[in-house]
Order: sequence, then C-alpha cells, then structure tokens
Amino acid sequence: MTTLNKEQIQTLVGLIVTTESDQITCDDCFGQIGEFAEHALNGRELSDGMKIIQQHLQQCPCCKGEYEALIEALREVEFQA
Amino acid sequence: MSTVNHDQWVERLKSDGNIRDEAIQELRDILLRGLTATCRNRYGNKVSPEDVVQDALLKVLDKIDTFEGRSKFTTWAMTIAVRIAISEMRRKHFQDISMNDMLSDSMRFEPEAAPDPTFGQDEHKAGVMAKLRELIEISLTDKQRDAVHSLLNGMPVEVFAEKTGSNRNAVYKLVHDARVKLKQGFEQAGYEAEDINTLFA
Ligand SMILES: [Zn+2]
Repeated sequence: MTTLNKEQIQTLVGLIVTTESDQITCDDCFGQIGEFAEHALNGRELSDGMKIIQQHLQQCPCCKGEYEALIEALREVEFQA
Repeated sequence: MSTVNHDQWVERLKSDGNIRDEAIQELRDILLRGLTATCRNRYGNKVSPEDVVQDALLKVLDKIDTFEGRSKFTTWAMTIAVRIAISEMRRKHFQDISMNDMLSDSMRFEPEAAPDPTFGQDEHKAGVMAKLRELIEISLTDKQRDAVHSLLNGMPVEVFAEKTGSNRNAVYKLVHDARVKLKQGFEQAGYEAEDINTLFA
C-alpha cells in the first residue's frame, strides 16, 4: 500500500483530465523532434504531421522534458532560420 | 550557428583528414555550447557536458547515414546530444532509488489530502476522490498502477522502463492506456473533466 499526497493527487487528476488520443510512440516523436523544434523556433505554422508531435508532447512528460532541453540548447547556439 | 548547410556537414564529416577533423571540432563546439545550457540546472547538475559531447559525436557519426535532412544538420545532431544528456541525467538522478519504493499493490490518499466536508465544495470533491480510488483499484492492472505510481513520484517513463527491463514506448503506452481508462471511468460515472479539474485546481 502506498500513499499519495495532495500534490500527487493533483498531478494525477491533471493527467486524467488532459488525456487525449495519441497516435505515436516516443520513438516516433524523437524521429521528428528536430523538425518540430525548428518549426516552433521559427514560429512556423504546424502541418498535420507536426500537430501529431505536438499532441504527443502534450501527453508525454518524458518527451516534453527532452523537447524543452533541446529548445534551450538550440537557443544557446543562436538558432536562426 | 554555422552557416554551413547540411549537405556540406555530411560531406565534410564523411571525408578524410583535415576537412573531417575541422568539421568534427566545429560540431563539437556547437554541441558543447548547447549541452552546457541544457545540463545547467537540470537533475542537480550531475552530468558533465564534456562527457556527453564525446558520446554524442560518436553517435552522430555512427548514424550519419540516417540523417534525412528534415531539419538542419546541427539541429539533428543536437537532438541526439540532448537525448544522451537527459538520459544520463535521469539515470544518475534515479540510480539510488529502489523500484520497491515505487511499486505497490494499491494506492491510498494521505489523510491531509482528504477533503474537509465542512466546506461547501468538499462533499463533491470527496465523491470524486472516492471514485478515483475505486477506479485505480478496479480498472487498472497491477503494472499500470506501478507505472502511474512511479510517474507520480517523479520517475520518468524512460527510467521506469530501464529499471523494469521494459522499453520506453511500452511504458508510455501502459501509462497512457491507464489515463484513458481513468478518464473514461469518470465520464461513465457522469463526471465532466472540467468540473473535476476545477475541484482540484
Ligand atoms: Zn514520449
């Protein structure tokens, strides 16, 4: 038996209510994350293919963490279009 | 960022001698700058960017034929480098945590997290909590409960997968399916996602 504290319950509820369908795996996401990051950094409109990546990032905290780290790294090397 | 286009990067990295050495050095500098930013303030600074950059370069050179040009070459290389860095950071961060602390046959809620029925909204909240507890018990498999519980303890699915001999895609799906089941359970019981969220916000 384990015990969830208030924050964990809040997180769990957040995970439940934000659950949407997701068509891809983490590996699929990784394969296109560079392209997605460039879209985001350039403020380009997302194609349907890129929207699927966005959807996975909204569902997957693990990939989202990596994506945020990637954006930080790309900004550091003065990413330009 | 270098103005060299990605075809030139591939060509230079696949050539011999000075051209290749210079390209490697240039790429190394770019990756190191990015990694230094990434490794700062993440998972307690336990990973050195210099260590990661070496592994990253090897992997980039190893996988160079799989580069499709969907992004800039340096962006592609950076995705590989950042992935290695984050994986290493997560591994180190969670290395001393035993899976026994993460697994459980059931979950309950801390008493202090339980709502106080003397306040107006809390009766409704207590109902939601009871439903949540019931759904966790009844509709999730043991594996799903373990994976969700680990996630709530801050363990990324990547680490959970490694510690349980599974793979990331499978664990992600396990958790996602659990979320879908819990959401559907609430919907079937007549709870709207928005209402629930407001109660716990
Ligand atoms: Zn993912």
